[in-house]
Amino acid sequence: MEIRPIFSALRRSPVAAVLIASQIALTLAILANVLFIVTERIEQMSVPSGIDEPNVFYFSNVNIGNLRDKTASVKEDLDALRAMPGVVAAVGQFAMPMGRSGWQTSIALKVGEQEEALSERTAAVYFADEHMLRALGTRLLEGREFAPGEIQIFSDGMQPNPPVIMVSTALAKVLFPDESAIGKLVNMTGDQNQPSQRIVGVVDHVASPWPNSRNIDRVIYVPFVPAGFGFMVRTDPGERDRVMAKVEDTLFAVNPNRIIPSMRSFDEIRRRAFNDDRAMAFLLSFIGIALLAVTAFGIVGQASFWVTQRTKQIGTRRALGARKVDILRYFQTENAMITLIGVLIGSGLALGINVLLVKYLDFDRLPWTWLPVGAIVVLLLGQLAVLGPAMRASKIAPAIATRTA
Amino acid sequence: MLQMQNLRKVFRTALVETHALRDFSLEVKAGEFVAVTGPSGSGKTTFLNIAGLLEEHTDGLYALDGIDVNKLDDDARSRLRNEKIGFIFQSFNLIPDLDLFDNVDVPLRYRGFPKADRKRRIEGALGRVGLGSRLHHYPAELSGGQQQRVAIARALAGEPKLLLADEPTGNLDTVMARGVLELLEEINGRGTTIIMVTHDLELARRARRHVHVVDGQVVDLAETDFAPIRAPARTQAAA
Amino acid sequence: MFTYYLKLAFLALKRTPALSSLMVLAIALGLATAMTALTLLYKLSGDPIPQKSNVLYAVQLDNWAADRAFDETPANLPPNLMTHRDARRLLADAKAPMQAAMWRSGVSVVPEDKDVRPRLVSARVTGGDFFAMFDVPFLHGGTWSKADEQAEHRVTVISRELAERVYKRTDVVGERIRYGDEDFTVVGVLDNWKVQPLFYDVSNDTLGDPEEIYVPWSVGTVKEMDINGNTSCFAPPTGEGFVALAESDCIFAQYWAELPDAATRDAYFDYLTAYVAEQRKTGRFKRPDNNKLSPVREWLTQNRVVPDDSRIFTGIGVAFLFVCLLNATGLLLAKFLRKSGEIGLRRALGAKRRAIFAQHLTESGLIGFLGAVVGLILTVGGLALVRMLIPRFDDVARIDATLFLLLIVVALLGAIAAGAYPAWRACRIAPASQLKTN
Repeated sequence: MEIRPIFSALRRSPVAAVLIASQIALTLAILANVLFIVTERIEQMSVPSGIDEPNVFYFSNVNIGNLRDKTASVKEDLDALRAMPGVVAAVGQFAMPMGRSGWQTSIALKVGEQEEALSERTAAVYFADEHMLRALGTRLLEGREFAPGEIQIFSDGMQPNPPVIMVSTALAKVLFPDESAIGKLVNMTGDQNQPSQRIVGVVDHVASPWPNSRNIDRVIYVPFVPAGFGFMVRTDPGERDRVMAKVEDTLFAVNPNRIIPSMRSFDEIRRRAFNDDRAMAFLLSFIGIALLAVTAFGIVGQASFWVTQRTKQIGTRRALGARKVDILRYFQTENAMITLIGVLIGSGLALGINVLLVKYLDFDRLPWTWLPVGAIVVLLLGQLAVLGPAMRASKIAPAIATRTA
Repeated sequence: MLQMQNLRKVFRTALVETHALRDFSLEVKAGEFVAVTGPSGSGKTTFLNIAGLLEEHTDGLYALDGIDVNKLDDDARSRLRNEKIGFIFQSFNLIPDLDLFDNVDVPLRYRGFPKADRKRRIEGALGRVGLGSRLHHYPAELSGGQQQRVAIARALAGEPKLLLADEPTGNLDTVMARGVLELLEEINGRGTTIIMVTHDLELARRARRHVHVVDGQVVDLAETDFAPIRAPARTQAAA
Repeated sequence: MFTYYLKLAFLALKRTPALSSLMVLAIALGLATAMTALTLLYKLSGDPIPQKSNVLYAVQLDNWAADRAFDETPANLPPNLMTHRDARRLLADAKAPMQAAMWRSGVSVVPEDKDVRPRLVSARVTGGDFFAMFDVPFLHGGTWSKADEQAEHRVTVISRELAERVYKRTDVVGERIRYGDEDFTVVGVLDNWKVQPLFYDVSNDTLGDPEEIYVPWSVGTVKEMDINGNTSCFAPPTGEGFVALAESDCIFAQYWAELPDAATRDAYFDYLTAYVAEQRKTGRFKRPDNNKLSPVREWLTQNRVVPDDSRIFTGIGVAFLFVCLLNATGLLLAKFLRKSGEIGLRRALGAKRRAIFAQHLTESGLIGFLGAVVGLILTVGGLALVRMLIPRFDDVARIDATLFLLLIVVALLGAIAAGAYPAWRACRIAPASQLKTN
């Protein structure tokens, strides 16, 4: 391996090598950040919802005229829904996991406690009756569900201040890391004069309505049936679309004075939740591939030129005893060296760009492991690209040395 | 050292068949200094290429230092070339982006000599041709004659048994040419076999043996004097 | 001479069709990516109301909890919504030349035809000078009067789309329309109106269409109309229902003022300070003074209306373009040096250095131009792809004349910049130096 002479020769006419190295540097910088962002988004998109996804749907419901008795109407609606064939469970609901709208509150460990880490104790609020857990398709891990007597009707303008609540397992661990949460008192209203809530059950993971939030696994369940918001329905497997098609007619038969503005399957809700992340991942991947293609093409072009330019030199080397594989290795080594320099500069650049992103765009710090990954990709790319011209070079006949003047 | 018997070289393209060498026979013993002359297109370059294992012959026997080269694959030929033969080209063929040291280094690297060994040989070779003080200069900084001397140093560094020179003084003025020729004579004096292809008859006279090639065949041989008689082929000639 | 260089450039491209088309494609890809990203960024960060954006101010009062800030970052921004009671009071005091308080709601529009199902339509409850402030165009009629507002008359302004949907025509001033359980009288019909982004209320989708129904603030209050937006409280309201919410320190309303010059603005700010001081005496506003008047563009930046992803995408797109230009430089260098023989010959035959430089710069420019043409097609495709991936960018991901021009300029400048060094190297080739076959 003739590293020093290759390096020395490059130093003599460095421009072309510098151009390639800069391209590689910039490519690595972009690639590392792109890989990071794309994998981050894909990770975010695969966050589990904790519910029976293929069989759940949600629709909002607006009763026309405020004068109707909300309690009666929501009971009528729920009875009608639960009576539909194929329905496993139906509950009144005003927020859905990953639905991107809902209710959030902070939890204090006891009445009047001054909290420092309030953002940690922020949790989403879901209404629940005795059917809720079955409707979600999740399970109780500890304690008990709400008893029918504890459940009230909730309408607009009320403040939830229930005596009992259930919490998600992640929230329980945050609030009470070393012991069981069952039976403990917490305060969700923020009002020191209000009575506290007693935790009666710990529920397995169900996602909060905000899919990109760091607190996606912190959830509280309050014993209310919301009236005048919407409904969540879980069906038998395969029945979802059929049931969705029948809901409007069923409910309009019960009471036509309503509007159902939207009805969405959970699959659709989930898809919408991550629409922007998906788009970003797709577009960035596209750029990443185009970037690699362009850089590869540049390397092929440059290497081809060098082969042509050095034809006589290659012939001479062969005449002096170089085998075909020696010529091949020459080009591969040269390419590897240029790529390595590019990688070193590019790594610095990648970290620099990331620092800017962190500062101005609330970005995550680039985990340094992406740099070696990107570097390997770029190195392999370079070696692959140079292979064609290098093979051509190795085939140059030794007789070129004497035959071309 | 070099033995060619009934060598034939045919170049085939889609349209034309060229017989560059036909029934070419030559024997060169170790230590000889042979000049090979001939008009343009006579096949002397082809002969040189085949002798130097740069091209393969179509037919006939070629043995270098007792080895029949017919059986050798490309890698083996390269290795043989590297170990036994030194080349000197008309246009020097130095690599412009490398300094003199690295230029002479090229064949030694392919030989696989360790670093210290190479250094010794390079400095020795460049010293012998009178350029020992300019190890890290670049070819562009040297005159033609000096460049050719570097090429000679490169050819010698690996201590080859056979030196093949293709018009070594073709690009030099008379003064430089004389210098190079003196160098070659000195090298030959130390035991290296030299085969020099040239169209300069004056130069050919300086060699101890003169072979003339016309239309791909050895035509006439003379020890010292040269009489350009065109005669049909004779298969062998006494050395 | 330029046409001669152009001819030579074409010939040069034709001689190496594969290499040239790949070069053009590489530049086109870089251009398309950068331009797609820039288009999005440009449209998303555009001024929604350029003729007035520096005189319209979002009014922010910091009524938040004593022990924690609304905004926990060092910027310590006051809440971006206002309480109902404060908005009510500011509206009544009317200290600015023009002001508006509002919140977004939803209304069930019940058609007369019983066979047609009612629909939920987006609505805005607003008091004050909303339409005048935001230059909202009327097709028929106009806004309701101050007397209507005072008397809580059931009057409404609707969009022309709604008018056409309900009445099949637009001159419906004076007609009745049923919202939920009550009839309203139409006093105005709005012409087509799109404000992008929807700056006056950043709680919902800022790329969405403006609301289709407008009702007076007093009517929305007395009818306790739904709040479709963010409602935030640092403490629960004392009591239940809308009335308690409207009296509490929970925020959900937007408040805007038009303050035409610095003097008016300063005077208004003083008024706000005095108001807060007065409220503080009753036990509210426990935090130190942190009121703010934010003009439109600052408001948009503050509320991060331009998605971060758009900025990231732009940065990466521009960096990619840069890589493509570097690529072009390297390949042009190789391409030009490959024909040093021809260049040496031209010089020998009398061409000055300048001429060689110009000839090769023209060749670079030609590649840039072709790259722009292909790049334009790819950009249009790229924007279509974005529209497909992000449906709400339907109006945003479209190219217009300005951006089209920008694309051409960037392409030509980029190609010339990329080709400058290679062209310079070409013109340095000595005359006839390459003639000796060496």
